[in-house]
Amino acid sequence: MLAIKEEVFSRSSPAERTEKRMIMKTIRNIVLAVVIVLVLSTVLYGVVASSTRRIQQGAKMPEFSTVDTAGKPFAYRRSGSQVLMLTFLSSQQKRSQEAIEDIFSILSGIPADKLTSLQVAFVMQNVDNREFIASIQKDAPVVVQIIGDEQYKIWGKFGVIATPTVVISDPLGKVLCVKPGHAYDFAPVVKLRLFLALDIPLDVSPDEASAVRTVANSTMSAKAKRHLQMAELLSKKGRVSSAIEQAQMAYEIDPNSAEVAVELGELLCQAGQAQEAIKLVSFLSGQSDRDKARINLIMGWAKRQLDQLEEAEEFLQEGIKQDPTSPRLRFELGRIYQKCNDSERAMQTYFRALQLIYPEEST
Amino acid sequence: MRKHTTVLLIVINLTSYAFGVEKPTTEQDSCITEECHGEHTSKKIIHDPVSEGSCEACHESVDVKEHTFKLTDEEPGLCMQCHDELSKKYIHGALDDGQCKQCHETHASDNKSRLRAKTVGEMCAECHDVVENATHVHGPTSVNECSLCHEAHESDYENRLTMGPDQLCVFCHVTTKEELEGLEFVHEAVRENCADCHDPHAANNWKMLRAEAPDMCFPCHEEIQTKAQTSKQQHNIVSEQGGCLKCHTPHASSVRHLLASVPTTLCLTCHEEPQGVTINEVLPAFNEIKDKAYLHGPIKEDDCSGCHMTHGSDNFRILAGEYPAEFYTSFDETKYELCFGCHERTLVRTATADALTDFRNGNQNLHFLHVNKERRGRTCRACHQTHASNQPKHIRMSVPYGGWKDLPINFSKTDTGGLCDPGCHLAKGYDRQIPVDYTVKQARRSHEFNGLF
Repeated sequence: MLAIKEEVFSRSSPAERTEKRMIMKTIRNIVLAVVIVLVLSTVLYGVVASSTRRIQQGAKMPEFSTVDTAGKPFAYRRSGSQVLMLTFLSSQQKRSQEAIEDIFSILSGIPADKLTSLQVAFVMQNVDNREFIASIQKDAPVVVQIIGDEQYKIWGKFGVIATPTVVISDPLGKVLCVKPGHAYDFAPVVKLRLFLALDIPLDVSPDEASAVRTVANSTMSAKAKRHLQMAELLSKKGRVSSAIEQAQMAYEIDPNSAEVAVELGELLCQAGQAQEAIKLVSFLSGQSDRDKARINLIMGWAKRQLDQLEEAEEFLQEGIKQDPTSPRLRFELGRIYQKCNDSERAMQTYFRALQLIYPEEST
Repeated sequence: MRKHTTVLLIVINLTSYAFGVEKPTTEQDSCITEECHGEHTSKKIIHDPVSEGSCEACHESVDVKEHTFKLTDEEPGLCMQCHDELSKKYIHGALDDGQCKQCHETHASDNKSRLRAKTVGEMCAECHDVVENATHVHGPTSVNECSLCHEAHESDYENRLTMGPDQLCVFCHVTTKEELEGLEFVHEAVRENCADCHDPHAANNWKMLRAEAPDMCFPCHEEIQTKAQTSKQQHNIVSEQGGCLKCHTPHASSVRHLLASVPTTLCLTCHEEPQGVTINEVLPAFNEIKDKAYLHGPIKEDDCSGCHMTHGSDNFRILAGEYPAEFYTSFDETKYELCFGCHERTLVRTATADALTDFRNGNQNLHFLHVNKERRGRTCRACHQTHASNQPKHIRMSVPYGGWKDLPINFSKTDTGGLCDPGCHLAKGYDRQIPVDYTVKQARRSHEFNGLF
């Protein structure tokens, strides 16, 4: 090899030889770099892989078969298309007992038709604690098989470190969830993962399961709604001016809420404060047809109070197109016809309003 | 009652003499004329029989010449002749005594429902002082409309509420209701009655609470109070004003124990900074877990309460169970109750182990070897950094040794074992598959293990 190399070199000019040496050096460096990267990555991978005793999410579920404490066989096979919920527990730990409470609560929320695809097993070492076993069997909302693992064989297969630990598989035999400990988010996370495995829809997304949600009754919207509800109650009691005060408070808190503005507008109309009502709602644009109809009702109602009957009729007719089910719009329209001495149309419109309120009686 | 009516008639007679109005001595077509009883129709709200001129519905003549009258029946029977009888479970006390007139004018009034007072609130306040100079007043109370929550006459609900307590408050507190429906863990008091914690009329505390936390919470949570106030190691904040609400949300949460946020976040709100424990002791700022690669299980799960009793404990650092504060200690299982809250006792009970632990040389259980010693048994902290470290299994980077504060452990890990090469003893390796044979050569330096690891 060396001889050939020499021969090749000897036939070349010095410039060519230098260039070839450079190329060979570069190739050698590249090969060396690749080797180093491969070695390092193998070493690093080894370190990372070896750092995790506990089975990881996405891994293949270990298959195993055993006999439960009642003497019934228990077998898990990846090909079985079953979801397995395996919980490692201790009969002597408070946290295990709390976890069982949560698990039972979760299991009781599973629809019956989904239970056929679910295997539930508790793995324990102290199965001679008969009182504990009996309490589990008594309270379990579904069939829970209790497996004794005195030699830590199943424990070792899943690389369990502490109890409680919940492992959930998907129907394809992959680990979908490993939840060690009984932390604050045990119940929501286990519920979400189990429901996901069983294809049961849930409102919460996987990312939200560990997030803490609380009652936030101090938000702007919450405060505004409180005043608005009180306005409604006061209005029902005939205390319209107090109702307006409450609705105005709601409006001050949440001036961007169309709902608040419309409620206030209606109260202003009730109190005969037509100008204020128009000023409030004239710049509003409803999103739904129902909202648009409510705005037109207020405009028509207020315009009637100001004796601008033609305009009022236009608003109300438009509102009826948007919400044909509103008796209030018909009633206001009837009042306009009545004011115009068109008794026949007024009667017809009032009748239609009544039909909308009492549909059964009118047929 | 009859005695009162007679006295009233005498007074009326005398009064009419005083004003010089002559009483009629014969039967009249109407009792209400310009000269007589006109005040009954001069007000806004007139009792129907009065406006219809049907005085005989309630009054009957005793002596026409003397112009004396008596009521056709006693209260409340008189009123019940027209108004529905009260049949519900809870009836207003005033009506129990048959005194409709205590609240209503008989003939006419300028006030709604012919009330004697201008508003419902003012009327009720004559007997019920629910505000008593309170600084925080509930909306319906502040607008003087008690009837938003209470029925004036009768109700099927206690305190004559208009709805059941579970529906009444959330009628206005709509958002609270909506949010409660979506949360798994709801405070028992919220399910039962908001008024258990909030005074529904007025109070001198924020949110009209009957008292401030923790005084508000302790009467129901006695066991927490005992723990917070009598434990040897107390979590100071629990007993401070508003303390409970630093960690718990009062109504409902998506997680257990009504936590207001993720536990680690809650704890670090205070413990990110040094905290005074006693006059002489300051707990340093907790920054051990920041940027660490390997976290202890509870830390990884954001669950400080995995090891610490959040309200108080008899163990140092308010730990949930016994745990040696020392580096070495003679072995006694009871000293490790904290660890056995999650980990198996077998770890330190048996000299040999198989799948139980990865820390073994062949089947020699190295946890047992290190910990279970009469003399100088290593405590968990001897090898593991309690909260977090940058080594697998949150193994310590170094240990204190003699005068040396940071003696490196030099721990390394393989697929089947590991190696410690500290300054305190010669390098020792372990391997689960091919156990290191210490009978052949007792002590080696780490470079001698190179072939093995």
